[in-house]
Amino acid sequence: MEKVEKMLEVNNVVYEYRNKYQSVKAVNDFSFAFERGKLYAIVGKSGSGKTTLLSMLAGLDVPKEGSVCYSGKDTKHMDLDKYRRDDVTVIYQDFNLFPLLTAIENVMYPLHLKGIKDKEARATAEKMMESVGLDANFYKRLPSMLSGGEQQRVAIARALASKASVILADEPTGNLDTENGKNIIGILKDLAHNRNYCVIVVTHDLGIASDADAVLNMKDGRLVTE
Amino acid sequence: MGRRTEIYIMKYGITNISRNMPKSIALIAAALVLTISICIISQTIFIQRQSLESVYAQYAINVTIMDEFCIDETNLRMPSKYYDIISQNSFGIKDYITDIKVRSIESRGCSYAFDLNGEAQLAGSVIGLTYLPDESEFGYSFSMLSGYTESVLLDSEPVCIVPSTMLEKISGQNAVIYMRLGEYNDYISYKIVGTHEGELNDIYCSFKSYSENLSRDEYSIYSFGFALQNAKYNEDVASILKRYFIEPSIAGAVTRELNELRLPLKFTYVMPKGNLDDVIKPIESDIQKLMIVEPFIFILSVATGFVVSLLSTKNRKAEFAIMRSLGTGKATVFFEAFFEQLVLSIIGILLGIGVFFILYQSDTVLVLWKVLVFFACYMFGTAISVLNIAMLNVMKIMKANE
Repeated sequence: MEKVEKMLEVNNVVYEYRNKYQSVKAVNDFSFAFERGKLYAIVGKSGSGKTTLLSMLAGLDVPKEGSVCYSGKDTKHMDLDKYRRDDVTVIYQDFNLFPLLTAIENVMYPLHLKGIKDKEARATAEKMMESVGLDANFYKRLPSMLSGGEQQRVAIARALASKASVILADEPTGNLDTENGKNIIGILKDLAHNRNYCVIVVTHDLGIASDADAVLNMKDGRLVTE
Repeated sequence: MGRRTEIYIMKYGITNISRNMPKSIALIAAALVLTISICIISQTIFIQRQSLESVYAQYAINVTIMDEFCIDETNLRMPSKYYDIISQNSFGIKDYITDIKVRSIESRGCSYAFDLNGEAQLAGSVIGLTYLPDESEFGYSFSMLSGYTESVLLDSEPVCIVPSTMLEKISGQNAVIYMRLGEYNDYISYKIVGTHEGELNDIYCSFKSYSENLSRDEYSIYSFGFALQNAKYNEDVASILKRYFIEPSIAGAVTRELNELRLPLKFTYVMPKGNLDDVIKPIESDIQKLMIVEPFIFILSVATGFVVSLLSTKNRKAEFAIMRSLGTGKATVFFEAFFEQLVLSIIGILLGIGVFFILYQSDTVLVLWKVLVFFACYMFGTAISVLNIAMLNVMKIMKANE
């Protein structure tokens, strides 16, 4: 029997936004275990708590109640900067590349952050860019010289370069045309199924949901259906 | 953050600077303009201070001690110990005091002899003084013998000025006369250092030796005055004089308290400053205005550093949020943003200093201290602004960016 490795476990997570007038539970008693080698889609209407959940999975915030555990360790007790550098990475709808760095420099950034030497970082970055279908012609281009699809590929290459085992994607096809969107979904599926990453996609796109191994439907911060 | 990461972050900063030239030039220009402004203000203050010093040095103030009613400056009959105030350097600024003119009352009954075997003769008058009088004072001229200067009269050494006719009767290079106060006193040898053309046998001695040896009168000072060569110290000297003398006032009130010599306050000092105030007031006023402006420039520097950094990082929030989401620590983000501002402001400041020294041909390095203060203020403002960047809410910015 194949061994199932739980990468990320979300246990009864509650996240509350408060202001002077009211408090809103953006995530309310959410529990789920994400495994390696699978593509998950988190769907739900705007304001259902998807992005808040994503920010906790990404280590950009910690839950007010409950826990998010990576490989059994509660993120509350982890160095979150290191967690984001080594274990988890995020791909955004708006690509979010460094505008003044070339494509390859963008991919090299997380490697430099880990203190990897320039030569080694460049070789890894080239490999990652090739793995998402970008050849040497793209290396020296600034993001402004790339199409949306190409920019998203660079963002994925950068995510892969960090060697994180969890890839989080927030509406990764939101700014892409249908064809480019399909290509990106293809890459994400490949990463989950063939390269054993745990890929979690937050999306409105039902096309992605149909390709996912599991779809988590959120409403008012709760997990409604699985 | 490891050493290699630090170097990479610095390289990242340099890349950003070099690939966004318009913004970099704008930031350099801001630092450059402020630096030149600081230099010009500091240089102007420096020049104004120098001219003030030069005015002070050109103005001599003649201080005169007068009677309690501030009417008469002669026949004061002031105790001789007042001379110690100056002779013992009580002011602590003796270097700036010249033309000390202290003269004693006339002493009669002193006798003199050319040698101790000779016949004693009665002197006309014996007067102690600290200066060589001009002709107008006694109606005849005075001169020092070769090898002597007027300053010997300031010391306590027994020296004297005798009628030239008297000197003709004395042979030898180092002519002396012997003087005593009365027939029961011993003769004291007085070296002759000058002559006068008076007809009477009047003898003038150094004031100190006169009051110690040739006068029974404790109240022996006839007149008292001196010149303050550098007007800069007039307030200091005035504050010291107030401890011994009455400050002149329109009311003319006379106090009967004791002064620091344990003597009644019954003499007045007069320090006529002439048009000194008219000359220095405009310069001091200019300096004061600049001194008021200067701190504002530094406060402005903090604000400018803050605003410039705020504006230059305003459109880069997403970039810093990406850094944070990729695992860059807050301190590293702060370091990166601060490093860029640091490099640009250093370039701007160095260029500003260069332009200032070329345009104004300045040879003073004093302005550099002010520039350093400015730099510290500017970077402080920058740090406050950049700190906000390091504290940003990553997810909020990412969503706002979409």
